[in-house]
Parts: sequence; C-alpha cells; structure tokens
Amino acid sequence: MSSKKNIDRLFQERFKHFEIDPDPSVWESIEARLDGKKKKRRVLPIWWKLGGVAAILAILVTIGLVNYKSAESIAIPTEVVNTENSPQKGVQPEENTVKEDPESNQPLLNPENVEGQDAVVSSDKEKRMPKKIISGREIASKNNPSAEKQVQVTETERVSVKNNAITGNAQNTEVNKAIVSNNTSAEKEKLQDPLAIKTDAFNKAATEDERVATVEDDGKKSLLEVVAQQEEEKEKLLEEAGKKRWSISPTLAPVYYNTLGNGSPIHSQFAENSKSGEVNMSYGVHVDYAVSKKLSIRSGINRVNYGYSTNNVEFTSSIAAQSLPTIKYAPSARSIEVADNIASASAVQASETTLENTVFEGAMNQRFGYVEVPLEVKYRMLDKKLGVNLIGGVSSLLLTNNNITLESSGLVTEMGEANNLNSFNISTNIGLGVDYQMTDKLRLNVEPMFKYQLNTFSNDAGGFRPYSLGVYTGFSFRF
Amino acid sequence: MGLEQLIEQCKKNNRAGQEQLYRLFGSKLYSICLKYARSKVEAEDCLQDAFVTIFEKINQFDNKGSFEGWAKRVTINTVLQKYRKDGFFNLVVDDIEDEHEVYIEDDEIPLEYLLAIIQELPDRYRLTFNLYAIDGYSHKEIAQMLEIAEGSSKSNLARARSILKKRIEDDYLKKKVNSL
Repeated sequence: MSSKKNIDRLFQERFKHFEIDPDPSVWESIEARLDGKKKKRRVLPIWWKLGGVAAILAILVTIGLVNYKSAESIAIPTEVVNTENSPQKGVQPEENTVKEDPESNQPLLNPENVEGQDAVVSSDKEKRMPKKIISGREIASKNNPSAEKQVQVTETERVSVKNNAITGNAQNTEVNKAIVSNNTSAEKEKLQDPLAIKTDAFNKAATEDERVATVEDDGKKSLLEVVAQQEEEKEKLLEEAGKKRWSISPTLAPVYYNTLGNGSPIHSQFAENSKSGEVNMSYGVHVDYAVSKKLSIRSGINRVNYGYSTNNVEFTSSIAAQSLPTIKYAPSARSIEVADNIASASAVQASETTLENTVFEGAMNQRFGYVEVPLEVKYRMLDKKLGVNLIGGVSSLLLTNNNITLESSGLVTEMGEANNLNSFNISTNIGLGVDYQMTDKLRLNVEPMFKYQLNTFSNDAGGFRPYSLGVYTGFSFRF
Repeated sequence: MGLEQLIEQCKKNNRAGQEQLYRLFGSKLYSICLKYARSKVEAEDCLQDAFVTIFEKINQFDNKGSFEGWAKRVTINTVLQKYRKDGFFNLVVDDIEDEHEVYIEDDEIPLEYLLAIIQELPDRYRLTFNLYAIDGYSHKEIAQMLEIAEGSSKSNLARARSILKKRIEDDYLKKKVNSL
C-alpha cells in the first residue's frame, strides 16, 4: 500500500536533511576571490594615508620654500645684468654683417666701432655695461636665439655662484671663460674665438681713456632705454627656453566619497543613520598649460561615479506605501516603503496592511555619475627630476545618471532615482602632487586630491556635506 | 571553538576562521544551491558567490538570531540575484490557476531523482516551488524577492506542482507497468 502525499510535503521531507559535500575546488575558488578583494582593500587605505601625509607636508614645505625664495629672488636680476656683458660681445663680431638693429646703436655694427665700444666697456664702470650688452644681445638674438638661450641659461646658473662685485676686466674674462665652458660645443666654437679676440681688445682698450669720454655721452642718453630693453630680452629668452608649454595627461583615479556632516539628502529621518562611502574609479584627461616655470593652469574632463550607503534602514512592501518626496520611484518599486524604523513610520499602520509583511533590514545605496570639468592651478614647489606640486582649483560637475537601491543580506532591489540632485554643481579642489620626470616629454604623476562639493542637492540636504578623496595618477606628455 | 568566536574571526578576515566556517556550513548551503540552480556547475558557482558575500557582509550579522538562518538567507538571495539578472521573472502573469493541493504516490522515490527533476524545471517555477514548498516562504515574500506579482507566485507554484507530478507519474508509472 502506497500512501498519497501532498507533493509539497514529499519534497519538503526528502530535502529536509539533504546535505552533500561540495567539490574541494570550490573552496579554492572562494579563497582566490577573497585574496583578490583583500589586495584591493589594502591598497586604498595606503593612498588615503599618503594623501593625508602629503597634505601636511605640502603646507610645511610651502612655508619653508616661500621663505627661502624671497631671500634669493632679489639678487638674481641685477647679477644677470652684470655678467651678460662679455658673452654677448663674443657673439657680436660674428653678427657684424647683420644690419637689423632697431635701436640707434648703429656704431656697433662696425668692427671698428665694436672695438671702440669694447674700449668703453672695458674701462667703464658696471653701469655702462648694460648698454653694450643689449645691443650685442639684440643682434645675437635675432640670428642665433638658441645660442643666446644657452648663454642666458648658463648665465643664470652662474649668477648664484658669482657675486655682484664684477668690476674689473679680469673678472669679466673669467666669467666669459666660465660661461663659455658651460655652453654646448656648437655654441662654444662660435663664442670662444670671438672672445679670445675680445679679451685682447679688452686689454688694449684698458689703456685708451680718451675714447671713453666721447662714447660715454651717447651711452648716458640711451641707458634707460637699454635697461628697459634688457628686461624685454630676458622675457623673450625665458619664453624661448620654455617652448614646451603644453602637456596632456590621461588620468585614472580611485575615488572615495563620503560626507563631512551627518544628515541625509533623502529624508531627515535618515539624518542620524551612519553612512558608508564607496570607492569608485574615475578616468579622464587633463590638459596643462605652463604659464611660467613654476606655475601652470590646467583643465580637462573626467568621468566619475560617486556612491555612499545609508546603513540600518528598514524596508518592506506595503499597499499604502508612503513615498519619499526626494525619490522618483521605478515602476517595480512603487510598493516599497523605506524608513529608518518601519514600526514607527506613520504609513505602515497595523490595521491597513496585512500582518504578514516581512520587514527587511539593510542599507540604502545612493549613486551618482558625473562628467567633471576641472579648472585648476598647479604650483611647482620642488622642481627637480622628482617634483612636488601644490594644486588648487574648482570643478564643474554635470550629472549624468543617478540611482537608489536597497540592499539586504545580499539581495539588491531597485528603488528609483533621486529627484533632488542638481544637474550642475561645483566642487572646490585642493591637492598635492608628486611627479617623476621619466624622459624629456614624459612624466609620471601621482596626485592625491580632496574635493569638497557645493550645492549638490537642490534643496536642503539636511546637513549632508559630500566630499571626495581621490588619488589621480597618470602620465603627462609635453609638447 | 564556538561558533561565536568563529564569526568574530571571520569579521576580522581571518583566513583560518573563514575556512572553518566554510567546512561547517558548506554542505548545507551547497544543498540549497543545488535545489535552486539549474545544474551542479551552476550550483558550485552560486556557492562561491554565496560565501564571498557571506564573508563580505558578515559584519552586518549582529549575533541576533541564528547564523545558519542568516547564511541560508544570504545564499538564497545570492541565487535569486543571479537568476533575476536573466530577467526570467518579468514574464506576463499566467492565468491564475486554483491553488489546490496536489497528491502523489510516495513510492520511495530516490532523492537524486527528485533533485534532477527540480533542476529541470524552468527557472521561475523552480524558484517559486523551492521558496514556497521546501523553504516555507509566503507568496507575499516570494513576490518581493522575485520582484513579481503575488498572483504570479501562486500560478508559478501551481504550474510547478503539476509539472513535477506529471514527471514522477510518467517515470514511475512506466516503471511499474514495465515491471508487471
């Protein structure tokens, strides 16, 4: 006799004590996945610590450097003036054939006059020298910018070594020789021979005082002009030296998002709930323009996703589900009721809904996707092969997508979108970057940055103040 | 060591603790996966996913209530999540059949066979049947977990029962007839 059984009961009873061991390979796979996740998690806290330490260092170093710099900067310009003297002269004779000389220092184009001028210079005091220098440089720069650049560059190096007190010929020639030895071989040849001639001229001229007087008069008139022009020349040279001003950098960054205050943009009842931030990847491209050797401005475009969770929420399905005004519900989520505490939520009256409602406990996740356009200024505090930069600026953020989901014990339910998010908002950014110059054109950057968001939400966010911490890494190509 | 200490270890991501927990609950949870999945291979994948989730979310388990119950719940949710992505539940509701009870001859049908025919059911019937008949969830709960209407849950169940009954009767009636 066989007994008939409710099919449900049949299965239920048979499976009650059903247990079977999985393959050993399953645990190995689980282990492998856990290891993968562990590494990811370990990396991130290091970045945050680095970011924090870097920020503190940045402040200290900036203070130190600023003090150090202000002491040095004054000395440089005057020294440049003085030591420019001879090298220019060296170049000059070469360019004797050049007629383009806007300045009225015509005499300089003549070899004889050149010598005469030399005489003047050699016996002149420091003050007179600038005039000579300008004219020589002018000619040189028109025909041989790179040569001058070389000279200029090496001169500035010399500046810090030599002191202001270059008065006599002997010292000038010393400087000449020193500078010449620093130039590249191409320029060296050009400069050396003329200089040799010049040094002879110097020595000769030292004895000819008469000529001094006549030329001196002319010199006085155009002294002011000369100084002004010299400044101009300096600028030109700097410009030419820093020809490669643009650079482009693709960037990738892990970004951590959270709030400074408590409060919740979804509803005030969640204000006191703990919030956990998410880490997402941001990717994009930056474009830099070097305004000066130390300062550059940059912009770019990034794609970034932010997310955070509101923990310890309760949700259930209910016919009379009270909808939160800040959310645009998805069609499948119309009957979901979310609250900080369902029992006390006014909508869920015991009499209105059946008692069988399961209340799920979990977290509410809110995610936003943006396209970000930063506009930042980068100040190079340490300028060597390994550089340190201070970065600050703002970003405009354009909202592209957002969603809110509920999660409980691994089950994720879609809720909808937030309707109180501004499609356009701003963040203020600050950060400290470290970069390594790998080749002349290629540079590796690591920039931890802190970005504080403003007006993310269109209404009162109840004290929710979002920020993001990211470590922006990438390569820069200079061109 | 006691289960509580084991859980504490897992909360700290201690590998030895995690392995021990796996040894303790692995078989039970694997059996659940086998019922809910379409095949042994898929069941293994589900088990992996379930444990990874368990270890990730173990900090949310606050030692109130049974860990086994929580772990089972996580496992079931993991499986549902996996099949939900395939969109099998968003089909139009069948006409709601009467939810009458179905009876079958209990003839010492082997467990392996029962498992096999369950796995062969279409996703939505299999999951509904498992949740209702074997794991004791209500239609309301099932509707929420599968994101379907309650009516769909009821009709899924009815369909599942009739398919299973037919399979068993066909296979075992045939046997009986042949042995005569």
